Amino acid sequence: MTDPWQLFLVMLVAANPATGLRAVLPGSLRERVPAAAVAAGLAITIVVVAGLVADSLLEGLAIEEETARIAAGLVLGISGGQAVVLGGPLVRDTPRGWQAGLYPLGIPLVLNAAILAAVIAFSANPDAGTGRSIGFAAISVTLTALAALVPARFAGPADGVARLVGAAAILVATAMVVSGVRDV
Amino acid sequence: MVLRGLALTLATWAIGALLLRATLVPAHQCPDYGPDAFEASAQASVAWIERSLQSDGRYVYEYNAATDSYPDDYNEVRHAGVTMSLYQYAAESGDTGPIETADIALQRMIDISFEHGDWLAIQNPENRTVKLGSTSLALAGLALRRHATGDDQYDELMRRYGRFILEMQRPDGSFLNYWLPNTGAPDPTVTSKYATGEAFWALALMHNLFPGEGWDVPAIAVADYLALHRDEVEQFEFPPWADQWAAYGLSEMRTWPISDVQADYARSLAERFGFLIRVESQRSDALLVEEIHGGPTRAAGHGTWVEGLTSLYRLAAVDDRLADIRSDLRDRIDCGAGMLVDRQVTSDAAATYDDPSVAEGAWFSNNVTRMDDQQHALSGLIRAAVIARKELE
Repeated sequence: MTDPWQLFLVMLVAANPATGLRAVLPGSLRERVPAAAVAAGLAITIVVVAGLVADSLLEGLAIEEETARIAAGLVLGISGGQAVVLGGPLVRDTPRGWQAGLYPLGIPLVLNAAILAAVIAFSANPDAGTGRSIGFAAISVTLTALAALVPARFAGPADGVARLVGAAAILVATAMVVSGVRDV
Repeated sequence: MVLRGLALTLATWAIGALLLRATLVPAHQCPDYGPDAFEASAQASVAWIERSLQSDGRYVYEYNAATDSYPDDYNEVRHAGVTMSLYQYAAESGDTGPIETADIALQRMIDISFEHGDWLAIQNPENRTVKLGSTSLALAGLALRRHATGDDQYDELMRRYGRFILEMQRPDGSFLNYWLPNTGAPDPTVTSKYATGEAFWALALMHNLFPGEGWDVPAIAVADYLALHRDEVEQFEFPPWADQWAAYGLSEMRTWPISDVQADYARSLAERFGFLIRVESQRSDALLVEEIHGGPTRAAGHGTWVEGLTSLYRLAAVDDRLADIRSDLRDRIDCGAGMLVDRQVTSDAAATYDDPSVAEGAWFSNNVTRMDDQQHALSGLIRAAVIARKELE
């Protein structure tokens, strides 16, 4: 699962940008942009930091990279299952202004547990590469943040897309677990 | 609202992470030892085997420390395996000291061998069965003895044992497990998941010792059978079966060289052994961990993983198709061997047993040690020591 397209697929389904479409932010587009920007900035910052410290973190926890991949696969599977069942979080009643970019848009919508686990697991994998893992994760969370700018009328159709991506996430998660088990 | 929501989310993640850590992702505990510790542990195991040899040429088969008893049981395949491990120690370490003990055990195998036509095979003196595995491991032991000593006095015996192995091979490369003295033919109904790999290894060793005699043809046939069909024929639920004997055989073939199919099989074996070591290193008596991951594997199993990994490492060291797994193989070997060192009964700990002499140098599981616990741990440790020392140099 270390080919570039595979890695991008992992990060994309983990971020599940369609869930961003389901975030109904209050206000005009101009008012929503700061929140999306804060969310993207927060998520990218955490993704970068997590990716850079992944090796040390796993070493400190005495977890092999292959085992981390299995764990990340489990988290992704749960996240995908949640998306299939619930269609991704439908965020309403969010605060106006940039604060929404911290919560709920930034965490847990744009930066969810699955993308965080994935970026840690793959950044520690020398075949996947830290830079590439961080890069694909950053692109994926940015897409999710951008999706939050899409007008609210698309929130309904996005439900189906989020479920489909959730189903894909379960398949990808299974592949991650299998690859973790099968590695030396 | 923002701070409360954020705090709640992060708290949920933290609880999830802690649950994951406590259940499915406990720490890998790989003791940090080097070649000296591996070798010392192997030597203690050799000493156990030497002490356990009895006047009738048999070893102590099993010891139950809880009841301070020795169950009345024996197994000829394991006898051959333990003897092989002594020769293997000598061949790997250059220390020929254990050969004297091994030769006594070898003589017992020769004495109980069954002759038919131009071949010879070990026959169980109690139930008269002629089983492939014991002869294969005896032959492997003799090949290792020859490596260790250069002594050719058993060359003809080796060929006769080898011809019995050929007698048991089927056209597809697989093997039957029993030869029936009453019918004068192999039992066509019984195969063994162990004996096929053991026979493979023995044949591969024979070709390397006697290159012009054609032992490679049946060895390659069984290698292909193992790589392509065995797991399906034997109906293993989670293939590949972790067969260290197959790994030994592939390692012996490393300069032939092996085919792409066999290289793929070698990789899959490496993945399986690596996974088993990773899982084993996560086992502990911590809350929930033992319930979910189970207790430590007995040395007779754990040792085979280190044997398999060391064989595959030697193969990968010269085969560039497996170059990408060399480093991981080294890590798993050190981890597996380190755990074995940690779990061996030291002389101090042995003093607390009713019979310290049969406890020292042994590996116990549920208060029981069996001779093949020492065999497989010894084989894995001495090979890990040689590999680690070579890397240091």
